[in-house]
Amino acid sequence: MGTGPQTAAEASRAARAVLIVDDNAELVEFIADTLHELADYAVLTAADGIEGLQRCMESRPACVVADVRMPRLDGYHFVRALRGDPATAQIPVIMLSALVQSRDQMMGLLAGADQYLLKPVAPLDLLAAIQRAIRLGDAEREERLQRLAGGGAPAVAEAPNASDAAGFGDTGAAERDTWG
Amino acid sequence: MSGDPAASDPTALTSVERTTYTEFDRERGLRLARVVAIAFAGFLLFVLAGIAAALALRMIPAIPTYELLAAALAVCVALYGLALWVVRRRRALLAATVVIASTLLAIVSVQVAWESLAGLSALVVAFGGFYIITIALSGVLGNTRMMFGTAAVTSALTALVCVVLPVRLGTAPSDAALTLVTSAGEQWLAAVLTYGASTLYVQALHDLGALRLAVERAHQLDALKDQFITNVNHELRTPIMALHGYIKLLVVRHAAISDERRTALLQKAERSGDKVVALLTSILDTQQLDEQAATFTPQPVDVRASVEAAVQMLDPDEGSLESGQLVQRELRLRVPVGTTVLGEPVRVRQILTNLLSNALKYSPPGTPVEVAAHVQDAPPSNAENGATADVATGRPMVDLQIRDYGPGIPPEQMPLLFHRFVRLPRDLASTVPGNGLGLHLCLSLAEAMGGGIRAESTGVAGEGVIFHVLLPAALAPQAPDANRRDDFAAPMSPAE
Repeated sequence: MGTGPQTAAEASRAARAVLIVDDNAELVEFIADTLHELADYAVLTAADGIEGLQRCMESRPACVVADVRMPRLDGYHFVRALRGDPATAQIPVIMLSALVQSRDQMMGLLAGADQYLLKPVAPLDLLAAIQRAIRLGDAEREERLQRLAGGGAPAVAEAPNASDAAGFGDTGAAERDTWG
Repeated sequence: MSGDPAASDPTALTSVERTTYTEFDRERGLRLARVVAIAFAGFLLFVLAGIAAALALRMIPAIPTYELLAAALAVCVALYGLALWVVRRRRALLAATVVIASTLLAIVSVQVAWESLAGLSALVVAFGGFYIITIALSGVLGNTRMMFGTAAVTSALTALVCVVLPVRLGTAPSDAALTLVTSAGEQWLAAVLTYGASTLYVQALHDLGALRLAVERAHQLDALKDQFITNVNHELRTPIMALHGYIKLLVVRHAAISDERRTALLQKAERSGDKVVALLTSILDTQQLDEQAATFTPQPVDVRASVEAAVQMLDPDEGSLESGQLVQRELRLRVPVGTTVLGEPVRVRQILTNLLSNALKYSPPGTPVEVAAHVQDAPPSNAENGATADVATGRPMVDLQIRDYGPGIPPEQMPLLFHRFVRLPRDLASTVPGNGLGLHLCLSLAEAMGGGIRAESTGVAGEGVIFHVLLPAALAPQAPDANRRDDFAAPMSPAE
């Protein structure tokens, strides 16, 4: 953890970088270990929303995994800020939170997160979600957001294990049932 | 003293509730006494006006009897006035006594006056029926003893009016005796009936109150349970995700990783598992403390040493890390050398650890944390905020203060502070971890040692919170420099 600002030399790696924004060091370390063991992503970390925004500006990660409850700038505001800036608006974002009420999930998705995952998430599921988020096209993201803002209702159905995982759904299938 | 009887019997009253009930009963008595005193005084003033008018219009002869009667009734009015004053002083039983004495005097005055004019007439005997009102009144305003006392007094007065005076005036003793037996019999019958009715009434009130209390507790418990489940759910999810996740990783990557890496991942899993266990243990701790009364021998505990030991025990994960940087916080220790409390060293240290950890968690980096102590002779009778134990009166207590300079606690959230499993709305919306057990645990521990704990905060950001821990002072055999205030500021690193 604690990866510093990326230098120009690392710019190409950044395309394969995942930014983890969470104030819980234990969890950041776990996600970093997961990505290290199961995939070839570089890992960037930030301890709160503001630091997360800075990292996004510096190194345009391929995907962001963000917590909700964080000091200074929480996850919802972080995602809104990210989506509000054309430079970072297209970065895929997955929210990962222990706030399990459907209202919380709705807020996350409406803020602009691509997926809202509930802790605990198994390593393979997390990886599948990241891969799915990276594959999600810009148009698709826009359409989903429109659908959410308009219809509203199927917030939870849009969450990680929904059937839109073109070609990726199977990655975590073996793991999924263990979480119930 | 310690523990909550409500935990075992849902309808049992806590000391606070019992006080509330007593206070409620006193209030009821005071109000009734006031109404009765005003009504009776008004009635007597009306009668006095009638006598005055009758005298003025010469409808009744101007003889000393009427003047004496008027004087006696005026005294009664004055006594009702006195009763109102006693009501203002909130002496319920005394007010009841004065009201009843005044009423008895009024009745017997009228009886004696009529009797002196016309002997033991039917009017005199019938008027004696009013004694029953005084008996019922004493049952409602006072207590059982006062009611039967009143019955005895009315019997004596009846004997005076129906036997002693009439016989002296020439009435046949047999008639007098018959009147006495009938009247006194009525009075005692009324006393017994009032006793039965009021006992049943009070019993019904208690049952109703207990029922309402039980329902209220059930509601409260339900809300607490919901909040607790939400809290624990939230607090457990992160360590469980790491614990379970590492195990999953090890299973998936079993063949592919080096022994060294495997050991590292296992250690991380173990660390997360420890966190889960620690959380569960702290829940069990409060459970046990609530269940078992304090069974320990108090011994002198040095406060300074306890503070220093508590600082060593602070969890480095709590409030000390910011962006991966260890933050040194200043501890201002203002505890006179030799300050000693009577208690149990481990419990004292546990209270201090919890409060210091809270102070660190709930205040911004860079602000100091203060610990002060002084001996106070008269323990405060009531806590303004939060809770205290039934502090043994008259015993010198040590007031141990732990202060931070954080956002403070909004006054309206103060009453929630020491509840078990409750986190303040403020904290639920924040990122500070917690399970809502710490302060409840502190309260249980302090109460188990015969002390208490309360919080003081303006709710203004930057002014923080002062937690006062009251513990019985140990009388130091000899402490030559016990009064020397040894102020110093030491850097406090929570991560020792």
